[in-house]
Amino acid sequence: MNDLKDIKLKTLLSEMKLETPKSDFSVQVMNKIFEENYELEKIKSARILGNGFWVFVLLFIVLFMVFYVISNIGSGAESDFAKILPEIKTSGFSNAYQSFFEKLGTGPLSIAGILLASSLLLFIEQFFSSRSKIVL
Amino acid sequence: MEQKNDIYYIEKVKNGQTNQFSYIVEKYQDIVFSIALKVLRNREDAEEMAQESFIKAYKSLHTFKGTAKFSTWLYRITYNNCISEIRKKKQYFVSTDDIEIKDDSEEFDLDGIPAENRAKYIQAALDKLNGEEYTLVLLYYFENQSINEICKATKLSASNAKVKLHRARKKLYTILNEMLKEELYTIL
Repeated sequence: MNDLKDIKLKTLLSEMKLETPKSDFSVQVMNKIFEENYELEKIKSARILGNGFWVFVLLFIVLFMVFYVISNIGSGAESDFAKILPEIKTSGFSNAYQSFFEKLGTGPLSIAGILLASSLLLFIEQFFSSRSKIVL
Repeated sequence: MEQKNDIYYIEKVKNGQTNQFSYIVEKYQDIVFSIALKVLRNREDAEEMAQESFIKAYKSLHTFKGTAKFSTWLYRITYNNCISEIRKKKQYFVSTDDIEIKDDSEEFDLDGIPAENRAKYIQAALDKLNGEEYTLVLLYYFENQSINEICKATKLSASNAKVKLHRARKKLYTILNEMLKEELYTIL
């Protein structure tokens, strides 16, 4: 009895009209899929290490070199500095130079450290975000 | 044959022919949208959720192994999406518990519904079921899914799915019975 009724109900329900979405539904879905594919391809082809990273690294190297020069000036570096610029009478110039960097103190080192840390964080963030986008 | 068709297109999509996915969308858009609409009760939300379900299915297509029916897999994605959405919005299934299920509801004779109005009656009765009941009835009676497949789609246990389906069917009969009585009173 119940089986027969089930069959009847099945027959009745099979005639049921389903709700229909807007006529451009499938076009919209496919457009979204193509957009996602395009974005994915862009991410795949994008370089993980962009220009920003290399600028940071370059700044770090420059600041590191500056710090190196300053520290040499501090420990009998007058002669080293004179070696670097042998042709120039350096006494007045180097005094001004030295006092300027004494005032600066360890500023360049701190900035270099911050830049290095930032570039590392940028690299890690870019690396993981590109990986997670590819997985999805 | 139908299942073979699905697999055929899915393989093509997996092999890079993305545009073949439109076949899948065209084929299942009505049922996916109907489930979403019944659960979310808002056409715009339902359309958005149905789109999201297809996109999610496309993105996870590589995980579809073909051991179950593709439709079951798609309905599970749709149903889970909609449930997550109503949880996010802190909405709940519209309760139909105020409909008192009559003990004699199973004795209701479907042939008693006038043939010319059958579709209208069935549609109206289905509208009164809540999202979960509607989905169960739709999958079992309209989509011919087995209890096992329904369990996969809805994450219900087999016994729970059977009980809920039985209850939904009784509710459907009760609603139809009431509607017929009302119609009769109007005529008299």
